[in-house]
Amino acid sequence: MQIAIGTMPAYLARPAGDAPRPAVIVLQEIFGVNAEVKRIADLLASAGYVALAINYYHRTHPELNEPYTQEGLQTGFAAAGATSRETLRADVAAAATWLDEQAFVQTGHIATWGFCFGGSVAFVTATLPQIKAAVAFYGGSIASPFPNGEPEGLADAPAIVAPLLLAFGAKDTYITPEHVARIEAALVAAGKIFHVVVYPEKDHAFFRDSQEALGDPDVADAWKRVRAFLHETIG
Amino acid sequence: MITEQGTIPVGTGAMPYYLARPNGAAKAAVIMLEGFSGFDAEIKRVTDLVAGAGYVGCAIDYYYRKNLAPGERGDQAAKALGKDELCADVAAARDWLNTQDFVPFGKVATWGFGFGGTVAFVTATLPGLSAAVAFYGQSIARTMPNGDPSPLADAASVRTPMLLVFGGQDRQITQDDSGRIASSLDAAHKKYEIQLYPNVGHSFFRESSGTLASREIADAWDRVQAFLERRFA
Repeated sequence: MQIAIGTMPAYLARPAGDAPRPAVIVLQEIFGVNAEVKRIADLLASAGYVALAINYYHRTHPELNEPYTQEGLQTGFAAAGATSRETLRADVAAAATWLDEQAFVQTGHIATWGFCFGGSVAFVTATLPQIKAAVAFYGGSIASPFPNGEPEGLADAPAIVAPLLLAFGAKDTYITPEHVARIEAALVAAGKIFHVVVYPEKDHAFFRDSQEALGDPDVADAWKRVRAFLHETIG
Repeated sequence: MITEQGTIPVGTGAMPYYLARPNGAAKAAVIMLEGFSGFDAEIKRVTDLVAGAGYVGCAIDYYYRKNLAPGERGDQAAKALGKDELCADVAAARDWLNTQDFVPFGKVATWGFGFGGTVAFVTATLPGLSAAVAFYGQSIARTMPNGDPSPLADAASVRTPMLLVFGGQDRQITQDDSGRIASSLDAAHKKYEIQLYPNVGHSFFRESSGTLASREIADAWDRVQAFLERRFA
């Protein structure tokens, strides 16, 4: 269902029943809160989590919903370039506060799960005390600068407080094995709790459109890995 | 095969791990224990090797307590590691593995090399491990690098069946050492096997020993697999 947190639109998916559940803030790819992002929220709800997909483009591109084309990518990149760590942290914190106020959410049991640009958002918002776990799938700005020119997400590694689960495909041409190795080294040096999973045969965005691809062993594994990590961290 | 790298919480610390696992169901998990050469390409190679045989391989880096630079050797760091720290690290890895969906609950073994062979012996006193494989652990029959007494002093507390492998040309482990290991375990009525390869030296299983020890390497790998198969059958 469509809701608004202040001026920020969001898509909410809930498991059946009113019992308080742990919650996951879903962080969109670069293309807006589209059908794919809603599918992820629904998938989480089917696994027993309250899922809230927030539109962090609301200040400049509230209606953005782009197709998976080169043109769509450029429009999305412009929208992402109008966000900053400051607006992204404010939006994720507002979402966490809203969730904490809901009777159907287990207070304090809040994680994030982001994809592509949203993976980078999950990384830099893992510094927020309200976030108890962060899942980042192929976040392109963790080891590269942000679309608005701000430094790579790794600059914030020492300030991270939430355990991290990061997933990458080794065939991703945006995020090279060198990037992944640098992410691992920085998180070890910072003494953080994290897990980096690498799927050797997978490309960027391998979890997208995985409705039927959940039959793919790597996609199914990634989904199981996420559930185990969420279970371990937020219940 | 899927690989992971990350950290496991141990108290307030974060212990690095490298993990490799088959895409499908795994038979069990094997905690891989590094030697003095540290958390290098070789420990990752043997971790991949066990994953190729259907196990979750999980190499842990207990030198994290000393903040080694990448690639730095562990000799000095090992001087700060006593039995308590090593048991805490292996227990944390065992517990973390048991929470993972990809590990059949409760099926965990260890396999160590050099100093890691000693760690495999020391941690065979922990509950919840089904098999321990110790390759040429040079401190088993001697004082530990940090000054703790020889792990043989704890032979009576060993809970885990062990496979111990040595090279007859190893200058760090004499025949007298391996003899005392056997007699200590016999006296304590423990289940173990010792395999001695007369013609090879310390660290013979390393990839760099390649052609020099190819027969021994192949035989040792067969024995490790057979031992694990029996323990997890």
